Amino acid sequence: MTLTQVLDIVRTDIAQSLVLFSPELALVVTILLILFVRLFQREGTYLARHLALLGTVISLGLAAYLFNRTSLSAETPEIFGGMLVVDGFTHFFRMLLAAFGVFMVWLCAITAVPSARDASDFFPLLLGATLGMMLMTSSIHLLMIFMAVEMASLPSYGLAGFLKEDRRAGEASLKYVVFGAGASGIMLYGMSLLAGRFGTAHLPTLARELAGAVQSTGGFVLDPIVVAGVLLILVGIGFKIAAVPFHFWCPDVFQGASAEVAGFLSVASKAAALALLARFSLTLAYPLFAADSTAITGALGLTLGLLAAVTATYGNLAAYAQTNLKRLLAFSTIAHAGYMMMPIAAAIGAQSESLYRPAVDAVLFYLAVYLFMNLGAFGVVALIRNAIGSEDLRDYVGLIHRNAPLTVAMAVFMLSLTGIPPLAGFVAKFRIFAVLYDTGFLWLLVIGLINTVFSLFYYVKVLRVMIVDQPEVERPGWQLAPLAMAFNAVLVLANLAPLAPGVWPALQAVTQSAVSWLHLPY
Amino acid sequence: MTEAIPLQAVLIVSAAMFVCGALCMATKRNAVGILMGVELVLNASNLNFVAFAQYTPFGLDGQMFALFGIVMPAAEAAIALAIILNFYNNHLTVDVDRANELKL
Amino acid sequence: MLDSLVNLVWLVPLASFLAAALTWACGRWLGRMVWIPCLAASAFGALWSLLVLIRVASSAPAAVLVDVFSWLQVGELDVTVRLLVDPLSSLMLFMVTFVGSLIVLFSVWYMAEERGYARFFAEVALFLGAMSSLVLVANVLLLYVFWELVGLCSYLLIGFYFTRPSAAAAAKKAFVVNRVGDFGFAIGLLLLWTLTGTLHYDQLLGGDSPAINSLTPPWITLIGLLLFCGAVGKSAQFPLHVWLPDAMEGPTPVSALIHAATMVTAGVYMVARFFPLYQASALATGTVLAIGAFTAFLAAAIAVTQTDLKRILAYSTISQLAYMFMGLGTGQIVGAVAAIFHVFTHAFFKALLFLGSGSVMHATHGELNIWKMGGLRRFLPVTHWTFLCGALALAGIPLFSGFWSKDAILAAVWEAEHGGLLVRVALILGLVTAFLTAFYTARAYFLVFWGEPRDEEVAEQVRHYAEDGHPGEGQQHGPAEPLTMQVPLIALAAGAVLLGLILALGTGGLVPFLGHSFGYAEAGEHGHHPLLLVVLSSLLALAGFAAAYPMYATASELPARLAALFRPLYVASSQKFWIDEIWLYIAVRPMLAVAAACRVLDTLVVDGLVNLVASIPAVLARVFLRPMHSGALQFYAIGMLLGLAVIVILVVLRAS
Repeated sequence: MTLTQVLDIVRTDIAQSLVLFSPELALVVTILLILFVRLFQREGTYLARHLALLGTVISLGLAAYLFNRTSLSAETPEIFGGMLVVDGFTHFFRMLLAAFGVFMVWLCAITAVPSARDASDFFPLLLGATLGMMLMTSSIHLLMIFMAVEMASLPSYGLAGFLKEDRRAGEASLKYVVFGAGASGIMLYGMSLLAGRFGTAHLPTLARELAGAVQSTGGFVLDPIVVAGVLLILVGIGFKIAAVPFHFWCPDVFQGASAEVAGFLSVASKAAALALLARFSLTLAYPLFAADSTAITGALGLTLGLLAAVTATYGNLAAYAQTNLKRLLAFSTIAHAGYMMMPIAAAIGAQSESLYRPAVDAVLFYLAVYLFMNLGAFGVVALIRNAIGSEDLRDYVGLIHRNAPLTVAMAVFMLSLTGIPPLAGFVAKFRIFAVLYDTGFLWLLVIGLINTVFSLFYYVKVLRVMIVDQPEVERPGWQLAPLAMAFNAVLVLANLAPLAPGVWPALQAVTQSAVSWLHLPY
Repeated sequence: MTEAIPLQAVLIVSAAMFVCGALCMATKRNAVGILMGVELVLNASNLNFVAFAQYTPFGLDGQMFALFGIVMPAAEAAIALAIILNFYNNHLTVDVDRANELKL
Repeated sequence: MLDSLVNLVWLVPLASFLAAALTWACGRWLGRMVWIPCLAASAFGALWSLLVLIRVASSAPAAVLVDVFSWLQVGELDVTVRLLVDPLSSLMLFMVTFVGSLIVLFSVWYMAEERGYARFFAEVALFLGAMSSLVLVANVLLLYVFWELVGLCSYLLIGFYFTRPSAAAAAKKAFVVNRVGDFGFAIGLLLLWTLTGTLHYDQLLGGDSPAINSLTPPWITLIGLLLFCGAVGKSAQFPLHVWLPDAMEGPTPVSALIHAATMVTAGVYMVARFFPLYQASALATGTVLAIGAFTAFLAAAIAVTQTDLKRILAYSTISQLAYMFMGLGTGQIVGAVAAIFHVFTHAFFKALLFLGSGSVMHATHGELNIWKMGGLRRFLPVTHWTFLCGALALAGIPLFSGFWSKDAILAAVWEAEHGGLLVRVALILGLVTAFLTAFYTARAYFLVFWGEPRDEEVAEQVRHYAEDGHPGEGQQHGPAEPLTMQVPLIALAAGAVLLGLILALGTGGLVPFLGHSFGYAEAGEHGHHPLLLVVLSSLLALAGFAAAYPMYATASELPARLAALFRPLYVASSQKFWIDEIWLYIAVRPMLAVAAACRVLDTLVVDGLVNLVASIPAVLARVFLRPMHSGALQFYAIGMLLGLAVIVILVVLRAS
């Protein structure tokens, strides 16, 4: 591509691009505003938090507006000259991440982390990472993918080590940054191989070139450059997802970082990374179906499926032995990432176009539900930490007598994470298993079911400690602030949504509409 | 001039750099040393980009990629060094083996 | 406008549900005025359903389906909340809300001294919402949901005085006995769904080819019998009738509303609703007839010797419900119509009798033994006269409402073509029961209101009450019979006296109206009452009433001598034929033994298995996974590289 071509593209589509990019722009403006007003701000005000809330709400509003407006025409325009794509998938994740941003600011307001003094450092990092994650879900250019991953990662490193005086936070951020930098380096190397081999970094073009190359050679020839390129990029993405064996950072970072940050990483970061995995692997595999060369997609699907199975099993087994709540939830997060990778693997491995969209649909649906149950769990951990100063399960004994509403909320989140009907987690998990059944990935389905049984034990163990076990000494209870009460009530209600008429079909309609205009290369 | 050095040769050099960098990351105990390993890996990929830009129709894209591949890791290195400094403040060492408090 | 009247009929249950929520949420804030939402909702419901009833009665087509909203639609499972407004449901709806609002009004006075005033009205409002939903829904699944919900309300209200052990035990008994019946009911509904593939009444019963027509006769019989199981439990028929007398532990308005007028008739309503199904099976209708006839006689025979006023009324309720099942058991449209007619009149006079006994209870300060009362007519004139109206109606004295509806049932049995011996036996039992009913009703009436006070303590209590009003610890000592309790009593008494006359004669009988209920076939030319039967049953009722006069209206040795003469019969009746004890030995004790055995099995085997499964991840985690997370960064890096190597090898092997 020559410079003039690039300039031409920029000139012609910049106006439309900026409109479709407005949710991200809202975040950019908010970040700049927070950094700017701190120059004139008195100590100890909550201006930064209010601005952050405003920014995320506006971003959410814009994303929802654009989703509604565009879903009628079902366009999937590539913007900024093929750097980003704004399809239903992008819209969905932008709404999800912006909504999650709103919840995060709310949670931070409740738990008073960060303090008023640190807020103008904390929120730009939080919003910056959110911005990077939004870009991760919409990138269709390898360079943009790399930039987005970095954009999401760099603020996350800072967030993990935000409690500067805390030894453990320091260790956590060190491990995170060292592994993160390594993983992004490896990913960039993979990109250099893949892009160089096909002479383009535009993902759909690259996928078509790959399919063409496969067709012209009359079948799949094992090209080491392609294999290495794809695998190394998957390492980078797998690191962000915390898929086994690239998960080692995850429990340590979650344990060292504050519960709020851990919740942020476990939901938003995971959602963006899964979106990237889905976008990257599905885009790459799609033209291969048309070229009818299924050996390569079969291998890719099997690899991802094994990765998913190992990740889910490992996460659930390791969670069992944990006593630190954040570490336990970190392994649970790893396990859930495994569940969510399953339909993606099945969609690629099933070698059938008709199952593409239902599989993505199931993942989107699961993520939407996952937001509410996992954020809820981390929120409860943060609130308990504020009250009793501990995140150790052994200090949770008899919590039902000290704060019943919080315990009930935790019970709902834990049971929803397990997938007990009629909670939201059950419906989401059921849809994933339905996709596995439809695609014929029965071995993956069996592994998923066994994992569900395993996971029951450690989730219930937490509840048993909180509810059944009798404390040795009576400790005083405490009251929740109204805002905290409301926060938990909203999340609990969201987890009970399957019981309410109308809510469920509505969410289903949104995810279905989102996948119905998924941008795929033909 | 360019004909004298084939593409393969450049790729082999970059692959060697990549392996060196990866091994460096896996074996160094000094946090700054690990960062240098990361830089090796990143520069291996930058070498790839410019080589592909020169030899294949990848062209301008490759040059751009290399530019961003230099700038972005610079930012990354900045934050990594800040975190390592913070670690040093807390632990009085940059030996990553001492970062072993977070475990079961 | 008229159609929107019917289309908005869901406002009736909704109002009650909202009232329940409001009472529950703002109970503390409303204080003693907490009855307002409940009364407002039930009065609104009564008015609205009266308009709906008039609308339905005055127009064809008689049945209207109202779609309220779609809950969920997953594949073939379509749960749309659909209501059916037809003659049957609109009449039931009116009865529930009208009698309900009068009883709520009575409760405002009656319950005023009770703790848990707000809880009472919240639960009553919930019950009214659930009951009106039960009669309106046009979907088997929702029918079951509300069937259970009214059962729950009944359970809660029986146990209203939950600090009293007998009340808690009675609530538990009602709950457990009803589960037995509902077990069959649930299986019946599931069978119906599995075999026809639909849950909607309009597909099951209506249209040109109702889904039930596709069933083979054995299935129809089985489903009919299983559904009848639920009715036997809910409507307290033999052998599951044992819970109803104990349910009198609840507050008296609850006995009037739930355990006499409305909820217990849900079984009758359900069988009437599925009447086309029952008509298709002679065995099912025969069973209904047999159970009905036997229960009618049994309950009446027990009521003759009981001494507790509310228990006498409870057994009379069982007996009258059994009459209704006899009507349904004829398998004739006229029989079904007569049964619903009896449901309607019974609701009025039985609610009246219960409210009257509530008034008596206040006067005697909770004493219910009729042998300790006497001469109360001098102290409670309004209660006395209205109670007499109810008693005459229950006894089936000619021209009172109970006479017309009971006579219609007996006429339908008389005219039933099929069955032969069974029908004849049922008719004889029905006639004997008519005599017994008149006798025990008169006995209770005379013992309570006539003669001289028999117990000095109670007499003192009543005298004190008549002068000072409420004897409780509360501050408001009002008149003994204030307007808020007179209005419901008089309104219900007017219904008990006139309703039968109006409905039986005024509009040419109910057959042309109710006979057009949803799914009913055209009724033939029936409905003329055989004169011989009318004379016979009138004479029996009058004879029963007259026989009680010399024995109980004045001090007499006759009852004691009769009891001594027929001692075995007397003991059997007063011990309720030992049915509770039989249940205890054939069901309760063995079940407890089985439960104990299960508990041992559970702790030893099942818990052991669960613990074994639970220990698998624990052991795996300890042995394999904990060493991997040593916290050492270098180890992590090597782990990743090795993992990557494994993946590469896998892919290469797989692809080549």
